Amino acid sequence: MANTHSGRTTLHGTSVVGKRLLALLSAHYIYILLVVFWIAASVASPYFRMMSTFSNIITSAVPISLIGFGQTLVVLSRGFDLSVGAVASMATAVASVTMVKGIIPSIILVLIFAVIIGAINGFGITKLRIDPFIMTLCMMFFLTGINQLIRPSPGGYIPDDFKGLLLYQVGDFPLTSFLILVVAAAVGFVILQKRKFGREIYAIGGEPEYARMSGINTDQTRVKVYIVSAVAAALGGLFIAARIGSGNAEAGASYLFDSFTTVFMGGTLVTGGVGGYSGTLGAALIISSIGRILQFLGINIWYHFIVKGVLLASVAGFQLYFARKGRRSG
Amino acid sequence: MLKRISFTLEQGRIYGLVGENGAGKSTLVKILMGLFPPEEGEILIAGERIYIRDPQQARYEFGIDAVFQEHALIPQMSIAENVFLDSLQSFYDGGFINNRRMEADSREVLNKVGLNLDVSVHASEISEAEKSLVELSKALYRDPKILILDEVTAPLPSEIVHQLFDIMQTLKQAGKTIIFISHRLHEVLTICDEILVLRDGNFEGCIDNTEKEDLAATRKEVVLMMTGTEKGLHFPPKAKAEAREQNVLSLMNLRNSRLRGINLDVYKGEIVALAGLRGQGQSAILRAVAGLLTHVEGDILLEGKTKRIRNPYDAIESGIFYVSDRRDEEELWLTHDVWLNISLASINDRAPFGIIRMKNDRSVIEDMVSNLRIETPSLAKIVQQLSGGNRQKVVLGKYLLARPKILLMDQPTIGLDVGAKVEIYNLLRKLVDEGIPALVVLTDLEEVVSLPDRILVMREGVIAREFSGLEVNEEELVDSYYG
Amino acid sequence: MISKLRLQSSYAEVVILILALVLIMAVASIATPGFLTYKHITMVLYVNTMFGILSLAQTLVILSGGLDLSVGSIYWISTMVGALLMVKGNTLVPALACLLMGAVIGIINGAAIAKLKVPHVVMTLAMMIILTGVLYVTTGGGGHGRATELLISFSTGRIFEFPIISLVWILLSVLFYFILKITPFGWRIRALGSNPVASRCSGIQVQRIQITVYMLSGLLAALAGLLYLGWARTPYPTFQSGAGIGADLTLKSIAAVVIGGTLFSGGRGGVERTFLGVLILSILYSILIMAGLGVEWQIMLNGIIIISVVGVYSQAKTR
Repeated sequence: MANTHSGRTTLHGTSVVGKRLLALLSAHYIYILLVVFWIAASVASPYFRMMSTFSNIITSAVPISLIGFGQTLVVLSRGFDLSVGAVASMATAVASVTMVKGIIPSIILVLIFAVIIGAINGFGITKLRIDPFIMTLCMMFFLTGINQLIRPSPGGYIPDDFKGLLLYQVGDFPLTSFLILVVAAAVGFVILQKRKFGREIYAIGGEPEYARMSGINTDQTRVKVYIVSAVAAALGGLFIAARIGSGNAEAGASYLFDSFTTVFMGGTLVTGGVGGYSGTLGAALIISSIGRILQFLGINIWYHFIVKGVLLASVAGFQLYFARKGRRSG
Repeated sequence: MLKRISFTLEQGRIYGLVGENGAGKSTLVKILMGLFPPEEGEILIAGERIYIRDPQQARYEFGIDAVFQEHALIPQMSIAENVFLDSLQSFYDGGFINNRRMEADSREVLNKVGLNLDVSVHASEISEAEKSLVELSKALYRDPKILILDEVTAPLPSEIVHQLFDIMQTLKQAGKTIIFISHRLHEVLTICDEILVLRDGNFEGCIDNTEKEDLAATRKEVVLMMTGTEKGLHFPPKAKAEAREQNVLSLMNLRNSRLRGINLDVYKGEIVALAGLRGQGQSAILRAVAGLLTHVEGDILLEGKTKRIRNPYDAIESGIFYVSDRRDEEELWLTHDVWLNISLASINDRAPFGIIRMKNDRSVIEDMVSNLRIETPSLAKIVQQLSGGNRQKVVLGKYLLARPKILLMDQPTIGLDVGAKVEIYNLLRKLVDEGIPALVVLTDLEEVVSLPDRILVMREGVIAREFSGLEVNEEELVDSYYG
Repeated sequence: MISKLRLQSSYAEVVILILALVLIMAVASIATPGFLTYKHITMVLYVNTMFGILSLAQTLVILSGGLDLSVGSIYWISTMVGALLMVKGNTLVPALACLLMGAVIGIINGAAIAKLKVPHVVMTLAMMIILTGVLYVTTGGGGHGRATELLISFSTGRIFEFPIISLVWILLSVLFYFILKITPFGWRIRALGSNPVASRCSGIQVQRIQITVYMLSGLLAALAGLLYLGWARTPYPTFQSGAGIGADLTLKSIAAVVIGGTLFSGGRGGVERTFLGVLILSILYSILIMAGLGVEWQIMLNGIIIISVVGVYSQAKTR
């Protein structure tokens, strides 16, 4: 009997248990960061001790969490979805035009569009073998043009009922927003850790060829991923519509970068196969908090851009740096 | 690729499938596994014609499964998940994957090949041999009717190989059919009942080996069918005496995570081989000297002078040229033509003031192509379209043009057919005679015995024994691999 | 079959490109009589010179295996900063300053990509975002400063009725064509785009080349910005798609490179191909404008074109 004595596989001296603990911690470092950040901020400024501030942070974190949800799945599968921002804008544009006829039908319409967009993305990437970056980039520009045609200037009608529901607060506490985040977290966890679809995403992102050889239908799974991404982005867009109370062809654009920033900050590797949604969610809260602080300090909105850009670059850089360090074996 | 393959397999027999590289073995396997559709011809199971669409169908509908040398495990996923990657849904408990149950089941599956692993760790954390065994257990678990083993013995230590043979016998008794592919003829002769020989995409014939007597004669028959010649390889004569004239390369206490203090010397006019079981550090030495590894300590002396080698650039500047075994990934620019591939590494020599003298460069490259007898219609031929042997010659041409002081080669004849191998041996010997010594990692036993002037056997990161090329004995050599 | 043809003779592709160009010129001249006059053609070249130079920059980067999403933003920042600096009346110093700035931004891009291993897409995307912010913070959105008379006359000047700046573009293209064809540096760029690992193993200093390529890209983008400044006198950047300043220009430059076929060539494409791509797209855009379709359509068209071309190439590659 070949007992390969791997019950305690050792790697450079650390035991399996120790490694797992470390992995768990590093997987959720983002929340440690978040808590530390909030504590520091609360100490530094009374503004941060008010519920309304947190309410604001949580609410503004919703769109980015939803859009980031889809992007997390996409990046995990070793892809890119550059069209998420445009899809969100599309949602606001379509909603602002059609909600006047009925809220539910309007939402259904938006979701149908999202599914179609995602399916086209998926089709181009799997059947036509177009690089995801290019495919979704072109989809983004295509949608941008269409959005301009649907809603050339911001406006349109978003019913008060809809707004009221999504922005519902109990006192200062944003109930719906909070629930949305909780549900998103739960769904993210279940899908990625406990469902075949999610596990297959990891396999495809980790080693696409091996996944295929092992019998996973990589094309089908990928198409589903892009559909989910578009739908999540559309949901995010609907929330944005509620917040701004109108349709806007540019509304979703800045969320594109935010989605990548949160995904990478959250520990999902740009190379795919490693990471998860909990990190993205945490990063979304951090970014939202930072945004709030900048706003509070009265810093020009364009500085947000700078900060975000630097954040994106550094996060991606550090991530890869640590990933390489972890794999270093001479 | 495949021109005419026709044969019949019976239940309860072990078939060996042999043939040189490029003979069509892998293509055949891919077709059987549904990764490739055949253009013509039919596949029949129990007399009925079948069409194999994809690996899933091959496995679950037709009972054909294959285990390859290269594992297909997803590194960042657990072993348990890897085992059941294509059937995760069978572990749904109320809609969620039941990890406990999956891990327990996977442990059972692994036990069948004698593996006792912590199935919750990532697949990246187990050894190569263990990975191969996991792949094997996956296939066994699916209980195929036809099991294909494609070069699976390579990473396995010999005790495990014996165990594998036992498993194969058990399967045979249970009425399964096994196709065993290996370039290690002694293994094939040991275990296979019949040997199918492929050559150049054709099915050459079938040699009966049920009784397994007179293996030497059978072997000759097999080689004859495989290569069309009686002998296998011709080797050029070795250096006459101990050519210790001039020390070219000297390694002193070279260390890193794989190597534990390497001391060796290479002198002008000799071919020195690094031999031993796989993964004992042979490639690591070459790559360390080539500047491809980090955290290397110790001294590297070239012609008596210490050199600091931090990256490939340093190595090349010093005249240390490394030829990797991963030709396509590390040596060639597949999308570019023969001209660029050969010329680029030394282009500065032919580009005064930063401008390439194109005519001059062209004729220099043409000379090299004809010297090495590289078969290509023109310099503009894209390297991707060249055969393995020609690609290797292009790689050699690249380095020769750059006038190396020493050549470090990792399995220079890997993936080449007999004809190409012989050409490489002759080229190498010619070079060495002209004063450029070579430190070569060799894995094929015949090569180790017949090619080099000195043999250094490695074991677990140290040089365990040295043999002189003129007086080496095959058995003693193989013995020294195991210590 | 197609892939064999492709790899074997890139000449076949260039021929296809030229045919496409001829075709589209024919269509254009039918749609607008007077299209094929010297005057009109030079005008099309003139208007698209900046686009052409940016595409040239993009070609270099893509040949080396990367992508520069910040070219459009470097272009705009050069224009704006140039305008501000030239208020004093000096041309040379502000121009040099802008070029230097472009080069430095390129070096930062290249360094992050080469040393910190930040992926090309992420880094240049981040740079675009940063530059967008910086631009607004420092210049408040345009309308400041003015180009000097010297620059204006350069940008609007003509030699034998041929626009000077278009000449600059053509000369630069020729220059880089030769650099790529007969200098070791050019060969190394191509090798890098084909196989970075093998390049490193063969002793090529990959990091240096990457940084240099991005520097050149930034430099060229800044140059294009300066030339634009002379034409526009006072810059008013248009903020389309909220994605970042110059995003539309960047996309156009990628589109031109894609049409020219350099994107998937593994280092085998070339400046001349992109040049043809630029011409084809320029004429296409002017047809759109003639047809009365606005900028949104241009953007959409870019997307569709890139997809179609890439789709075809991808199919051919995998056959």
